[in-house]
Amino acid sequence: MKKTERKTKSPAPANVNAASKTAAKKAVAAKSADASPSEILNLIEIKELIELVAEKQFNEFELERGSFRLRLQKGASKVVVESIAAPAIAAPAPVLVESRPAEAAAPTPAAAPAAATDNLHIVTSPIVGTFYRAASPTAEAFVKVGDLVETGKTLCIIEAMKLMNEIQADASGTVAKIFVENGQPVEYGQPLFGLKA
Amino acid sequence: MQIIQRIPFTIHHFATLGSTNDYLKTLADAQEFTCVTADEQTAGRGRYTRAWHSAPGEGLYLSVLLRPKAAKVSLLSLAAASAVAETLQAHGGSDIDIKWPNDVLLGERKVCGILLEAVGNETSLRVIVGIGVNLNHTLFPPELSETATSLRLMTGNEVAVASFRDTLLQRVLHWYQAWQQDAQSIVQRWQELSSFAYGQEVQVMLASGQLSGVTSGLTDDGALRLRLPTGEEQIILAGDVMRLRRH
Repeated sequence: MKKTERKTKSPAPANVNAASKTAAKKAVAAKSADASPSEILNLIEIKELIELVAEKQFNEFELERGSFRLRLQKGASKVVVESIAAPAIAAPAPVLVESRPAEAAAPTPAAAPAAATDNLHIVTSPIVGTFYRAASPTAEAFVKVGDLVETGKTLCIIEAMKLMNEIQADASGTVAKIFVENGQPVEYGQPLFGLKA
Repeated sequence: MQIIQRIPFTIHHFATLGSTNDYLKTLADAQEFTCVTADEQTAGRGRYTRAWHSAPGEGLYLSVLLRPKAAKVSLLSLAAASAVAETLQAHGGSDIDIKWPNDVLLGERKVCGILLEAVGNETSLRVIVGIGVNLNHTLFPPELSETATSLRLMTGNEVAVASFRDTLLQRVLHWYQAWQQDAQSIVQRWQELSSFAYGQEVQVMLASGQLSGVTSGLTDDGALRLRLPTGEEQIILAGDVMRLRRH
């Protein structure tokens, strides 16, 4: 399965809406209570991006996905992973992950920073499919940022092959973060919502 | 409301309901194989709450509750389509086809809509299999007349709805049990029944755009493999498939 339609410009930094086109690629996402950037964009995807940037001979590459930003710079041998502060959450310090000049290795999970999702309960996708925030295009979203939800409250629908999976809150809390846009493909284990106790 | 027993199924039958799926969903403690049927649906839904044409007494509107233990339930979507295709065959239908993932066609026109809803987590998962079949319709509204059909329009004979329902329930049970024993049997059967499985030039409408390519079977999960003009393979998990040219 290939990523398609990834819009990039060279040599200027390009902002890429990666979430829309990473499609339903099966990849193992790190499982932990905290969502590190490596969960939002997993290591395999970061590695693929690095290879793509190297192959296309971009000097610089930048990608934004919700609160997550990745910048790849050629020559500098530097992979920058940072999180943008989400509303009501303390801004994290940008973290530099050094990679060896000879090979564009992916950052290691151990180097993953404490991100903006610290102290949030992360609801992840149990399946691969398409993420919908409402029951229909005209219906109101099941939840929005700031809503207080109880355990069992339906947060979204993920569709795979005309099977509509209602994803329910497995903890109660305030919706602090919604990681995925309506209509976007999601992968197994991908963070969907961040709930603040 | 009328209760009909068809072991292991318990059918709750209504003259009119908004949606059999919605009603069954409200029965949170219902046992596995509880079914809801209606002579008429006033708020029948298709994928992503698209309206589905329902007329009194002309169609079968059936929802079945399953409580599967396994997590990979998306293949049940294909299993339901195979069950409908086999039931149509048993009741005189011909030129039966399945458009990925679960639109059942008679003479290339849609005869059935299937929508599954899964609620709960892996320890207490409820899957509601909603099936609407056009059986005795003789006329469709203008916007559907080119794309929809009924079993009666194809065979010329009136269909006994209860008999069709009972056959369908048996086929649903058969493929549910097959799925529990060997999930890949669902993929194999679907590929036998569908002309869309291999070598079809199709266009797929996705939430994020559209793609064209040639089908090359299903993955183990039942997703559609699409060979793009670039030679790359794209795995389709959700989307509307349209045939561009028949092969």
